[in-house]
Amino acid sequence: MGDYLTTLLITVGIYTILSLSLNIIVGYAGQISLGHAAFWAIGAYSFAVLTTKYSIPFVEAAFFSIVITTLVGIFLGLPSLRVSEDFLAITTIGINFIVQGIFNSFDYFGGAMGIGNIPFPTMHGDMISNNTFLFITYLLVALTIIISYIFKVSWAGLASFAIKDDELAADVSGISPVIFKLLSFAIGSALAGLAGILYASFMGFISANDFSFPVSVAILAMVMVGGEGTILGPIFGAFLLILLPEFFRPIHSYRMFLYGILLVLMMIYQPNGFFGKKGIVWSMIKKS
Amino acid sequence: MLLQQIINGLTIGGIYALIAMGLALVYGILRIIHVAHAGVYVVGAYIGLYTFLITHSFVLAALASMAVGSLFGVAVQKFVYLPLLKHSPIISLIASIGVFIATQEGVRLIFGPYIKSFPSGIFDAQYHIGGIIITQSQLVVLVFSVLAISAIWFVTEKTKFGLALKAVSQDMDMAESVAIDSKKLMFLAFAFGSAFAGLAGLLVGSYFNSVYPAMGDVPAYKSLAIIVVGGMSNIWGAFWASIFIGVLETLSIGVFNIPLPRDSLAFIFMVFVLMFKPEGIMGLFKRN
Repeated sequence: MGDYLTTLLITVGIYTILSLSLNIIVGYAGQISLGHAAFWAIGAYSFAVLTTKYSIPFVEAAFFSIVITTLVGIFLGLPSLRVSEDFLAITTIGINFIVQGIFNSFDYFGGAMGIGNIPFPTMHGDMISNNTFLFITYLLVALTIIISYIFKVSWAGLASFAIKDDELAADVSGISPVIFKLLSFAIGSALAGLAGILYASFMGFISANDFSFPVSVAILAMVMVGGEGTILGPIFGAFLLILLPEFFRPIHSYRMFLYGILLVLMMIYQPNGFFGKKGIVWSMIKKS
Repeated sequence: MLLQQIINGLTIGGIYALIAMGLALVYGILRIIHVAHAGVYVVGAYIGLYTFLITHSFVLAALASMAVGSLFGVAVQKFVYLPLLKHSPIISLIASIGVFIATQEGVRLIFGPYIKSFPSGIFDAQYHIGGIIITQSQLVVLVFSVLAISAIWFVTEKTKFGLALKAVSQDMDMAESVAIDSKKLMFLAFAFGSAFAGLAGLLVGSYFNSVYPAMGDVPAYKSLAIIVVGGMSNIWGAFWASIFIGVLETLSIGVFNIPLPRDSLAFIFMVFVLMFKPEGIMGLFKRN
């Protein structure tokens, strides 16, 4: 496979993990998050700092990065317990700006220069090939799908959906909103951390601008365009929103304009996403 | 020095207020996080600049910015928000972000990506008042902000329209039952609020002498932090929060040399407000 195609597919894989992980927070537990790139950044930066500054081996660094991202995710999920949805949307935007600001301005995190020389995975002392990396990425995508599925059909998933539908009713039925909101933030951010490790290791260099607010918007758009709460939807959304710009390369300067228009039209005509309730793709599948 | 920084901060705060008060007004009526408000601001800046280049009159430029801003805001309300009112707020939020992206990109495609400036030397004069330097462009911004905010005060506090706005923002069904036409009021609220966002675009463009497509990025999200601090739908809360954050930013950079990027300060302040004064904001503005 050509390098271009491999890189593209790895990017799609990383974004699939991101959109599925955000889907657990937004689609399952109903908590609006417009700051998912912050969790992605925390995963990537933890991994970068642990490997380059403290020379911790790859696998251990990856493990600790996920632990760190999960803990930060639970901490940053705390506002969801006290504020209503509009506040949460703005708070998570704020989290994105603050996290990006911190990574961008403290020398410990490389400042505006970013962090380079992040290790690529090795096997028996040799760097693995890009195709092997691609394979590992899609193994992790599969793992993310399995986790999403198990969570969705488990009692924990049902409890989350109940909170999403009616928090008060769920609460009086003995489902603790605190536990399940934080659980969804924990799982969602852990998986975002995983995507961060993949990204940092594959790129070898990260800077705070890679995780800016428009990235969070794009991840949320993948979830919403595909269909929040479904599993096929976010996967489809990630493929669509990453691959579409590649097809539109000849009209490159209209790309973002069309993206904006697409978001508006999708929300007006397909508010539940392609795979959601009344979504065109889902109705076609059901018919056939 | 300190007084100088406070004057500079008030100038910036006044401009923030023009954007944030319109945003708070719209939130009060529709409960929509109107990110595209900053799109109105960008359009206002361009229209104002070109009107000024043609007519050489700043007053005409200001009127043109307000008129076109108003039209644009009303169009967004009619074609994007009205069809989405029955859906969850996250749908409108994403559509709003889509409108904002499409507006900025549309402006870039029409007027080009480069920074445009006002003719050199129009506002170069400086006034020295007791050791404080006030530039003419600063004076223009201050005068127009004071006039505009007085107009907002008069309309919202002293007219029947203002009273109807308050009624609808507190309870739309109740307001309709006392013969307030909420559709018409939404239209007027958007026309009114958007006019000042357009004016703010022109004022910022002339103050920093640069008009460019991405100029709305920072105000788009910072104004959200400001209205959270002010209490979401509270117009005067938004006013005081704008003034406070304008001064805080200028002081933190000019006097205290805080290393964080200035644009994340508003969000950090917002987080403090949410942490330590949640009851003041929470109870009052929770969605019904």
